[in-house]
Amino acid sequence: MTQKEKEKLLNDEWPKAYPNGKKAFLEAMKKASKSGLFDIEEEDKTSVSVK
Amino acid sequence: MENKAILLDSCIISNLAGKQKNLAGDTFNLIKQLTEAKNSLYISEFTYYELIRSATPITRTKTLDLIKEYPIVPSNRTRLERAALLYSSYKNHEAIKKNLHSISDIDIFIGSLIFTRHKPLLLTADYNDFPRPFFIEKARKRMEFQNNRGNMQSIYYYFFEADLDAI
Repeated sequence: MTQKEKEKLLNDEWPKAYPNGKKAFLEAMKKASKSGLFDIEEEDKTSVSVK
Repeated sequence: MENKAILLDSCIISNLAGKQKNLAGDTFNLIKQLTEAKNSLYISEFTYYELIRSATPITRTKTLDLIKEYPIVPSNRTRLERAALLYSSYKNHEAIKKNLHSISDIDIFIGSLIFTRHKPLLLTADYNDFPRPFFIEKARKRMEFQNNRGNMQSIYYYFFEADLDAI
């Protein structure tokens, strides 16, 4: 891979954040944090994963 | 940490919506704090896939409500090529290639998303899925919570930045 090709790969704009606004975003996160949607493994792991 | 683009790994969302109440609450507080500090939070399309995959028919609607608020960084030709470049770089790295089997393709794709000149960060609890020297730890946050057995447990959340010169 040439340096020019690599540069092309590294120049990458991400989409605009918060499509429905920050308020809607935080509200959804707040609801999610109370919902217990996902089961979480409780072993002594350094991480938890989606089952 | 302000005005940064931050990609949340799937484990952060599952902790946010999981059954460990303290961890979910602390994860929400961190997300709120980051959002109020003018950071922009994202997920990858593969995180979207992982979250939908884990939903039951009962939780599917709630899960969709949760993730519809996230801006998604989708795959495209550039991002897939960059993921392949990161994979090749892992394979050429003596220490990492021995453990490459333990890093999933999804983690390689998620990790490769932050290899851009705009220097976004990745927030994850899975330290070993994003190996050195490719990922530089910029900060960590200890999260303490009471597990289902009533014992105190702690995990770390890591903020990683990509080392663009490593690939």
